[in-house]
Amino acid sequence: MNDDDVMTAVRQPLAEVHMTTPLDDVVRHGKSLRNRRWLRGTCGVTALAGAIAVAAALLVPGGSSTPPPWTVTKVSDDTIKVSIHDLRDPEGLQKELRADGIRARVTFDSLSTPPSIRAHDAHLPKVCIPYRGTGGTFPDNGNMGSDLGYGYPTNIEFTLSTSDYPSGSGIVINAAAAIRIAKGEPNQHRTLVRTWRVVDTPKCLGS
Amino acid sequence: MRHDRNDFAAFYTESRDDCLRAVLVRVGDLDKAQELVAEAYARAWDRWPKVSRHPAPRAWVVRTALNAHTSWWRRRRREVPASDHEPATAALAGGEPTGPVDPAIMAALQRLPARQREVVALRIFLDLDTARTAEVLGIAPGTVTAHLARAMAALRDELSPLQQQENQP
Repeated sequence: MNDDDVMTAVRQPLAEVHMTTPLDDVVRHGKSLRNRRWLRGTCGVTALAGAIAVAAALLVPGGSSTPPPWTVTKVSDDTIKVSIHDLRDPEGLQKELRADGIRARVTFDSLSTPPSIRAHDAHLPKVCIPYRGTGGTFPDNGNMGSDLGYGYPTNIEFTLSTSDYPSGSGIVINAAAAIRIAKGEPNQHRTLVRTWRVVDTPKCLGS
Repeated sequence: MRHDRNDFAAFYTESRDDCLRAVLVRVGDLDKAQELVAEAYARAWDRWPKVSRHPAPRAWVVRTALNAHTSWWRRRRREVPASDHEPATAALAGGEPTGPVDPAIMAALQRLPARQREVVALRIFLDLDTARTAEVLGIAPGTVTAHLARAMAALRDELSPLQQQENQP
């Protein structure tokens, strides 16, 4: 069999496979996606169901009653607890973690972040290299990193120990909002937090 | 808007079967492939002004469907109860191809590594050239060539005995 024969042998059996979804169904679903995107862009928040309430709280003059988007609490000499309540101010969290001795790169992706730059389902940024050295007990899942869980709208807590990040290593944290769509079930708004232990390089973690 | 809808309708009619077959090769399950491709076309309609100007709109649809499949699989891997996990894993790994297609062909395709299946899907079913395939998958053209060569060799090994059986009186 030459390559053409192989290609024919593979193509032929699938010739009877046809797409059965009517055009109207596709167009209708596409229109609903467009409406959802418009609503998210207008409100500028991460979840539809809680969007109006959250947006109203954020727009209160003075904003004094707005809870902080994240907190970092010292648990022991080398362990801190990170709680993420809202996908805002990743730079502040990054700065705080570095002050606590962990070289970190933190990014948050809300649903209003254009898909082309969302890291929600992306692998570790290509400029970063997984850290394979010894030291610490970080659950190393290779490039997939460690999924710390879901929370709605966002209530994710995890602990970090400085001993898990020896010199030469750091952490990349990405938290992203997403909508889980499953047939027959209501849409669920979730936040996924994913982390990777990485080699500390200027390209990955900056200066 | 009417003009756009007519354009999209024409695109959908002439490309949907090829896109479905390409995605089916990758995911191995016809129902799941239909669902993913329908979702991808819906997104294409949502972004039609941009997609219609894309150099390879079919590739955009297939790439979107495969990305949605990756997202679905990662969520299912975490959320399906442990007792259900093994059968789901087996089906997605291609252990049990489903659908009306010749099971021997589907099984041969599903035994290819995922990346080789993607190259086969784009090169054979969407008829993309090496450069475009490389661009869609985010890999080098040389890597596309290598994957395709390995896939052809593996499929030849699997399909030749079947052809001989069919040719025997």
